[in-house]
Amino acid sequence: MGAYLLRRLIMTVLVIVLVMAFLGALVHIIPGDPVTLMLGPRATPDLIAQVRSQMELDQPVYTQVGHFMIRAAQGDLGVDFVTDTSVMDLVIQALPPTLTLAALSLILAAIFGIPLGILSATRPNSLLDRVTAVFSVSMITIPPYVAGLLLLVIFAVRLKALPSIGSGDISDPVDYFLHLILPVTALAITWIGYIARLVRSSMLEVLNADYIRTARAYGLSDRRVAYKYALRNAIIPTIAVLGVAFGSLIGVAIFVEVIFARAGLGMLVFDAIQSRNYPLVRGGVLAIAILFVLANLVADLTYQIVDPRIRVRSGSSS
Amino acid sequence: MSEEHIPAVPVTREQQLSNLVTDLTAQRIDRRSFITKATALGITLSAAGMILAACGGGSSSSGGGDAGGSAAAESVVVPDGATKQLIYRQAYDMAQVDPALWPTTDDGQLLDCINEGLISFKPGTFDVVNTLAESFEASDDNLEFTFVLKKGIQFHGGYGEVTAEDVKFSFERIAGLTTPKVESPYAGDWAALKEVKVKDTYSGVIVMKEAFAPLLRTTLPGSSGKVVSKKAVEKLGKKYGVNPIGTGPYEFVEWKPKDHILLKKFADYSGANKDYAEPAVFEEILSKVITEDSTASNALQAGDINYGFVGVATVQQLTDAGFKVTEQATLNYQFLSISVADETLSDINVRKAIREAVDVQGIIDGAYDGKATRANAIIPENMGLGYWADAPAYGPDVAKAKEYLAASGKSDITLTLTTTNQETDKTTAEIIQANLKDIGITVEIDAQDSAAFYEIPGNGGGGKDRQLVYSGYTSLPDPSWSIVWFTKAQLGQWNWCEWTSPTFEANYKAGLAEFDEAKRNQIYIDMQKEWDESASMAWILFPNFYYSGQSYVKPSIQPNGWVALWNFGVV
Repeated sequence: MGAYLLRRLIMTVLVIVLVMAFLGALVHIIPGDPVTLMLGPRATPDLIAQVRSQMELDQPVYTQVGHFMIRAAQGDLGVDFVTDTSVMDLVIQALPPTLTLAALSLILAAIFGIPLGILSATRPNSLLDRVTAVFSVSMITIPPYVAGLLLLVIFAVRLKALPSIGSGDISDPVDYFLHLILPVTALAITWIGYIARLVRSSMLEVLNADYIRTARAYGLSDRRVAYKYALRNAIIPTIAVLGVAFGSLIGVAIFVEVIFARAGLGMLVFDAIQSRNYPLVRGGVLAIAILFVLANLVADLTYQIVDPRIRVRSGSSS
Repeated sequence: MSEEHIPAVPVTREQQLSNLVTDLTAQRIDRRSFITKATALGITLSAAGMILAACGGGSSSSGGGDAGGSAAAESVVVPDGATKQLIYRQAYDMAQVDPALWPTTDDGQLLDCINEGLISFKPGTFDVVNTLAESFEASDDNLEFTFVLKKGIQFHGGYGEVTAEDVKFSFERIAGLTTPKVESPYAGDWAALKEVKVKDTYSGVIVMKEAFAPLLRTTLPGSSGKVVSKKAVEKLGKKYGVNPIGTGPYEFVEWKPKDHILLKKFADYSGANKDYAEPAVFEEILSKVITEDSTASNALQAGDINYGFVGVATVQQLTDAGFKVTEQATLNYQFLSISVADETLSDINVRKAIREAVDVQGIIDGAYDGKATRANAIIPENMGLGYWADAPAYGPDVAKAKEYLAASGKSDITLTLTTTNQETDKTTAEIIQANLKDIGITVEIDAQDSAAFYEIPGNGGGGKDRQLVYSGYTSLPDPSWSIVWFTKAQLGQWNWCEWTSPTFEANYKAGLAEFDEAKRNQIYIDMQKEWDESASMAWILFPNFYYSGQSYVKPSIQPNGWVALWNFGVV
């Protein structure tokens, strides 16, 4: 297990380095000059050239990206072109709201998706199963930004029951929670559908296994069979998907951050790309890459813990 | 609005809940307040929702524009505590609230709350009044301007009293005369500055190298005339722009990136503006960063912001919801430039054909929902100087356009029309494409992301060799700032029509040095007439800014469309 962990960590670092290099260079392909945008139309060509030189923008792209990676390895992500603020500070400030959104959305998706999937699997081809299928597929097809807009219009604008914008005051837990309800729900909807369908198909496979038949033969209740025996095996693919889901939610969070005017990592990177704020783009993308890779690593390690067969195979191969 | 029910003695949870329901049905609190207080009592959200549904809910506590208008239009209710905080919507996040570096209108508006100048625009006008200056006098040749400061004007943050040294530092800094040199995009506002002489603690002389008429119309009363604390700028260095210090009625408190900027009333405000403005009303100004217009419209309707800039596309939605939308003319302008440097377009008959074919009113109706003022020249009427009232209105006249095209002898013309990928710009481009198709010119639209579109030539390409361009520029309250982008110095940069002439250049320079308003007025009209003869521009419109908010908010808007947040009040 230790060797496996070490291998995975090395791979994680490699992936992050490659992502940094690739995406850090990719932003330069998009036309547009950050200095012109930063200084505005009143800037003279001489001033623009001078500032470009100060920012190393007259260096080749590989030099700029290389310098960034060397400094990033030392914990220095540079400064924001526009406000001269440390990129590290901006990213650290933007991380918690996005992580909170993603984590709560995932939890909500699991809370509703898993029972929905179990319900369908334990009553296959029934009316309940079909209705659940319709709801699940419908939820999968609703993009988060559509869900967000609908929820906002209904609950914030029409009913005025929940806030429409902002993150709320973190020192007031109720206020902070109320500001989370709509964006979290908007993000979670799609994954509730995915998880429900995934759990259903995994459960159906497991429920046909011999040991489940044996458990039923011993007189165990359906509920106990489903949750204690079947779910533990059926949930394994879902755990893997949850890792991917977390990474996806961080990326998709930008939509709800824009719709609900919430500060966060997605909004930070989106604005940075629009203004060609290269240091902020690189810093933000690095943060997202690290989170995504770590989420998948945790999912893989959890896989190992939950499924002894994978643990044994990894042990024998190392 | 009457006060909420406040119990005199401690009550049980059930009694508190009962009081909340009473307040809700009597509309003393709104739905959101009910849910917040109910959950604080331990009531689950679903239970609170069921109570709301059973009660039929209260309406919004704000006096402003509910759909169907529960608040009577005649009597506006100012909610209790309304003056505690003004929640304003700004479209862009704070970048640099520094007179030398500010990049967006939103930063400029924050600057107006935090900093003051020797002279300023009186709210709602372009009239110039003394603010930090006790007296301000020009020499006969308009090369020296003597000022005496009001005594006892304090900077925020304990940075002391305003002195003539601060004035010298503020202006010379933008002009690039200080050490270390500040690379300000606004150096042009002070390009004619020789130095600021300090006579004593409170007085000095602004000495110019040459006469510069916009000094009194834009530089001094505008953002480039704001006085900063020399001590604060030297101490804070590059951090100054995100920790601004001024003398204004509001001081900077905090900036949460991508979320908000908070200002609070400056307790030690010296009242420099008391001769022309009321004391600040709101205790705090919370400027929320909301980039999307639709989000802002929803936030306004939900009561989560008090006031803000609204996009053209949301005006009807807000009007239908019962909100009053204020339309404010600006000094900005939109145009279709026709490059005289292009081989096909170098023929004036082709340019005249294009100008005659474009349906300007169709663009205003189709792309701007009728919400803009037609432009027949570059200077709008509300500039107050240089407005050419008799400027000809061209098109749409397909027959005449075809005659011009026939006179050119050219046919099978294909042109590229470059614009941004903003909705109004793209729609306008499509209308122009259709107009030109009617006269046999094929137009290919190249709609670009803003960053790519505004990349000027010489910085990697994208801006050179543009044939037709649909775009717009902003301006300041002086005609020279509208025209500056089309001078010889801007050829190959922002002068996309690539036209100029010796007379045009000479008139431009003469206009900058002429202080006689009647003569300046004529100079700018003559420039526009000569420019019109070149047929290198099809003027389209002067865009309006739209603002809306809760009905109890009394806004203060300048004639150029900027809001004076510091001067907002309640009805």
